[in-house]
Amino acid sequence: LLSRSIANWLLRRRQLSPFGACVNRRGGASAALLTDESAPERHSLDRHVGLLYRPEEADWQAVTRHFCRPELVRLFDTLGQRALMVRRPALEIGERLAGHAGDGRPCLRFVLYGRRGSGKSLQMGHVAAACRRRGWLLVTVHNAHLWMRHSRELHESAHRPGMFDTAGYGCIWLRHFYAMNQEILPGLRVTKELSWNAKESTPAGSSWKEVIDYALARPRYSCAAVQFLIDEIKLGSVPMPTLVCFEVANCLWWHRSGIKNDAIRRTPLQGEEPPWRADITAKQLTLLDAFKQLLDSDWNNGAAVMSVSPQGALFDRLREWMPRKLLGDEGFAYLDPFVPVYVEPYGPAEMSNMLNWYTESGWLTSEAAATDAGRAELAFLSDGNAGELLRIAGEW
Amino acid sequence: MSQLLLGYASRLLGCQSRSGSAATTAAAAAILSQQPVRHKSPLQKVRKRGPFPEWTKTDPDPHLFTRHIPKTDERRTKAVRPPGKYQIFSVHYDPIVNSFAGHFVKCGQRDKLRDVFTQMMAEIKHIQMARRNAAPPEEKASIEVDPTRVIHKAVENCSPLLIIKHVFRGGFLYKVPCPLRESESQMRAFKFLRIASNVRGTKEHLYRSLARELVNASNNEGKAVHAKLQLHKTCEENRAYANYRIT
Repeated sequence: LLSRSIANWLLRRRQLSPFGACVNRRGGASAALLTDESAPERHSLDRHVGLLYRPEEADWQAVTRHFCRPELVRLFDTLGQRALMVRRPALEIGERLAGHAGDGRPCLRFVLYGRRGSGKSLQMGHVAAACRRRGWLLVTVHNAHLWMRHSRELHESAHRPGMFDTAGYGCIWLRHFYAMNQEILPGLRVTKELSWNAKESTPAGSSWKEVIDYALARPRYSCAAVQFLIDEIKLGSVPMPTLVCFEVANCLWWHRSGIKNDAIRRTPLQGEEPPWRADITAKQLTLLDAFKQLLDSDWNNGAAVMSVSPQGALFDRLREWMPRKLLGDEGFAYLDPFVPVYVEPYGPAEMSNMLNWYTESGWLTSEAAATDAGRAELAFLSDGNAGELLRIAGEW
Repeated sequence: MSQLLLGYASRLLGCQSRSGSAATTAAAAAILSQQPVRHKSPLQKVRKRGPFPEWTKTDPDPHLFTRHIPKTDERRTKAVRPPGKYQIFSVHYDPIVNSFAGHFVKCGQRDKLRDVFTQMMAEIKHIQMARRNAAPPEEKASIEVDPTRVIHKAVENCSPLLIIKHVFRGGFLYKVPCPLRESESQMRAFKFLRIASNVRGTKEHLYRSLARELVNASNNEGKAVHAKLQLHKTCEENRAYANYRIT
């Protein structure tokens, strides 16, 4: 008798989807909840969490686009509309940063962590767009782990002996930096004389644009230019606060890479024939070291937001996602103390809103995607992960 | 055997609009109307599978308790074929897409292929939506965006009605046009699509070339449909030997 009642209870439960708790709202898809507030710095924790907003064109082209995955950018191009979700981590960081600058306090460091695809980069993008609208200077690095994996042009550095320059990536970064800060850069001046080599130098008081133009014309000195500009920021010669965004910061402490270098000389092992080659570590690249200096806490009037991701992990740490594991001893000691910010998976309300938007914009073309069972299945398969949902929704 | 032929002929006539040309189906029916010459031994045993019905949702769910089903209920003793290995009971499951995926599997790496297919279906959406955005208003409604429906249409357009089989007779090798079962026709369609989407070297990812080929095939263009039409043409050329068929 007891078993029959249990069986009946199970039968009744079977009518409901077992994963319905992952998604809000019965009754299929409904309208997506969008907010009219397109300015990221005006989003607040009370009113806008869980809503979607449409970024403005200027913000998107200059800042937010670089923090998005290429798949997401392509999706927005195809659909002809853009909508990003306002979430708690970005708003919490934004609140701290609003009152932080200009008090002589050292650089405040945030480390965003979470599973791969949970939305760390987009949260950084939200913070960066908000700070840019407040008039901050933005220094953003997106592809550092790719610099370590693929690098063809490597030169011995003149301005930092014993290290290596990646001239191509330096030029690309300078162009990206210029495009992001076009309104602010004309007002910035260099306070020291920058000597490129024994014969050429840029005098003190010249604008930052001249320095960047020189480096783009002479790619050999692009990494030196980056180093000089970062020295200027650390000196405090920049009148406005600076925000440093570094995606996948755990690659700064790699002991291996995809780049071999014949210039490294080490004692040959027993019976080894030359040429013996070793991996280049992150400490030996001037570009990476320059940005690492910005992540230190010995400068004022700025903040640094970093993310640590398994995407930038070496082969031995591919399954880890916590900061302590990804950064290792050295990286953790360097960044300590920092504010860890967890980017959590979508909750039921956020998942429901995201599915509504995908259905409304026409990306989910299957009839099953509008039903309760289909939505519950999408929520289950993606497990609340934003990146997984984006990938799986391509199929539905 | 005449029953079988009638069955094929009726299938042909029934799906006349399937692959674009009424002349093709009429030609196929004409070829098939010729009687085959039997060369097999009359003592040869023909093994048949039982006509077990497919598993349906009303049958007992193997994952739940069955104690609530009375012992005299026919569900307890009904013979059903068990569900397929990759048959998923989901609202999004599609048997044709599932079989199509199985056709591409190499070395048992079906899970790796699943990612490829997810990307491929997203790519179909991108291609078709871009085309729909660029199309004039009167054509917008006719462009199919759903990848599952695009795959169905592509497979339908690539499915041949007849196939060439080689028959060795009297010292000569003849190409004989023969009918196909539904499953074999579908397999031929998959094979045409797979070979058409094969790009040498590392120039393009499979999901991209396959998506492009499927979209073309759904519009009756492209290499896969061309291969099917070539096959039909060869069947038409060899229609004189249709009676050499061993069925």
